[in-house]
Amino acid sequence: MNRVLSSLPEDPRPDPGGAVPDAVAGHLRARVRRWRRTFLALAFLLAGSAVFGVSVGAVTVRPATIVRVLWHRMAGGPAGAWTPADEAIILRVRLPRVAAGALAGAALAVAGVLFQGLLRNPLADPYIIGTSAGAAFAAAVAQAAGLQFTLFGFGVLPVAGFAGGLATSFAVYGLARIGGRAPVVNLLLAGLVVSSILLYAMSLLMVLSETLQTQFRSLFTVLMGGIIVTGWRPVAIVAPLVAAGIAAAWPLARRLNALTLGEEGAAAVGVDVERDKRLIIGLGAFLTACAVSLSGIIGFAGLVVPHVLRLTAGPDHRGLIPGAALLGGAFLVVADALARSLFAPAEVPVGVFTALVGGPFFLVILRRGRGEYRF
Amino acid sequence: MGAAAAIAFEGVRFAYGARQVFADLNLQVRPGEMLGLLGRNGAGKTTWLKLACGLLHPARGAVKLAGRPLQEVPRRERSRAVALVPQELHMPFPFSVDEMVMLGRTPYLGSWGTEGPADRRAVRRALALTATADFAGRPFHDLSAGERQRVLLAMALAQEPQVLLLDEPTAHLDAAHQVWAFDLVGRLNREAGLTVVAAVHDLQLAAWFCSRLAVLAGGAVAADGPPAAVVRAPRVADALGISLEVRPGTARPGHHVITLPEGGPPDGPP
Repeated sequence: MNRVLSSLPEDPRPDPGGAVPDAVAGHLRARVRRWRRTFLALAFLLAGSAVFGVSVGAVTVRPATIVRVLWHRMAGGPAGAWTPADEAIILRVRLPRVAAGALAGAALAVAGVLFQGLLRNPLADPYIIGTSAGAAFAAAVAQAAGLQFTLFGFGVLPVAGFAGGLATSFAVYGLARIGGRAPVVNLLLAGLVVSSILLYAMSLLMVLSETLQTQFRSLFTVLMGGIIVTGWRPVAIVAPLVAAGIAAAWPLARRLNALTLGEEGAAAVGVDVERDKRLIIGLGAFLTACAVSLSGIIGFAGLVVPHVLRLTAGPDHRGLIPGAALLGGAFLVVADALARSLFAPAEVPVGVFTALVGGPFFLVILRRGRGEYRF
Repeated sequence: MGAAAAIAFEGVRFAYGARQVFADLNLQVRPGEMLGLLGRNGAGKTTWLKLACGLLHPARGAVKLAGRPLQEVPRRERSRAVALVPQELHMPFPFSVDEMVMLGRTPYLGSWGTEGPADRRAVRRALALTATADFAGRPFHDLSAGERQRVLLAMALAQEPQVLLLDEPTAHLDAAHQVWAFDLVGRLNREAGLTVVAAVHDLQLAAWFCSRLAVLAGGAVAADGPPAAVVRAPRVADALGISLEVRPGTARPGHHVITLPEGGPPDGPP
């Protein structure tokens, strides 16, 4: 490749302004340092929130006991003076739930990063292309039809939610596609309209179905967002799926950066826009559906977590994707712990907490942010 | 013509739905040329530029890059050879100026790994050439429209292209920066052999800096040739909807001559 420009001196002006050569490398280093610090802080935050999540509940377990039990079980540390009941609560009840929360939060936050970057829309969330409405509608249909089955340790509603969410996302993409292209505006509009249709169809179903009216409670958990996992089996199934989804999304980061230039801007720097759009939407919908299968429809996590990271650490997707996985996981674990314990023995839907905790926190960050958004 | 044209439009037909822009357009840009693309709003200047860098594809005919049909050139290779400076660009997220310019390196970078010394050098050079290094750390969307336009030029230069396409590169620049920008692009053209095609509205800038002008009107090339000949061609004033008075003289860049329309404002767009 002919580097025509390298034959020129660097600045045509008489006074180039001093420290030009070091500026770029300096900014680059500062950003790398900022992301390293962010990752370190987020890793501690996730570990801390996991201990907190295991600790609180109907019976409080001391954090020191949690650490010792885990050390004993996983790394052969010394046995100590804890009861078998403590160990059972930690290992069989709370830890799977905390793991499910971390997975769902990570999946939602990464999906939020993917959709916000692709759609260049700070208001985008993982449900924007109909995933939540599809999941809700499918769960309602399954319950109204009185379906009863268990699949890999999942009940009817999580399975229906997963399938309905995924199918609806792909249908929205198909509807938005015209002549081999799926313009962003079409995606947003198709997602909005399909979501509305499905949500009102679900309302109609609720009015008409007696089964739904008498057994509203479990559907309510799916709709409001609540971790519906007991035991390790569902976690063991979803964990590799979420991990694979996030691992597949990370290499798209540089192209996501380019996609924030817009479809033409990205195409001009060599991005295969339509192919990457398919990949990003497919991965985002898949991660969202995974989260729905563990926790129902939790609002706010996928919207807020990417913004908090962007405002504190910067908009580069190479950092945003892993950072959102850590922060989203920690966020949902804490929200679920609060939802379980604050009004114990009553359990509040975790979706209420993601909004009540996440909302004000986001507003504080927004007011102090290092950069603003431009619509 | 001996060597293959840098960009060649051969019998290009293009339409947006039912609205036809080009019926059968032929236009060749030779390597090392600086071509000014003139024409009224809607004459197809932006469409021409988008076809030339592969953002749009002709319905018939071919757009060729150094002799190869553009659609056969792999995307990344194409983006290393041709760069487009758009009129403006909306960036919703707070990317800093140097991060934006680094996006111009996308066709050189794989999915993994960080930017190497060659990439940093290209970005530094592009920032310095466009005099944007002073605000390299500031968010792009905090800049004035004119500063943003210079950053977009820097992004295109970071692509290290052989062909630079500019869509009204001076639309948001003050009079002094207009001359400065054309002077910079002209220098890159003369000293580095960069092939330049610029859609221009300012006839004075076009006549000063371009080695050749082409006027688009009615989906065809109404006039094509050296500036001195094109601005005197009788059809050009018609094609642009203005009256033109050409005075050979010693005016230099920065010296402005104002032209006024004859008999009131021009007709609406065709």
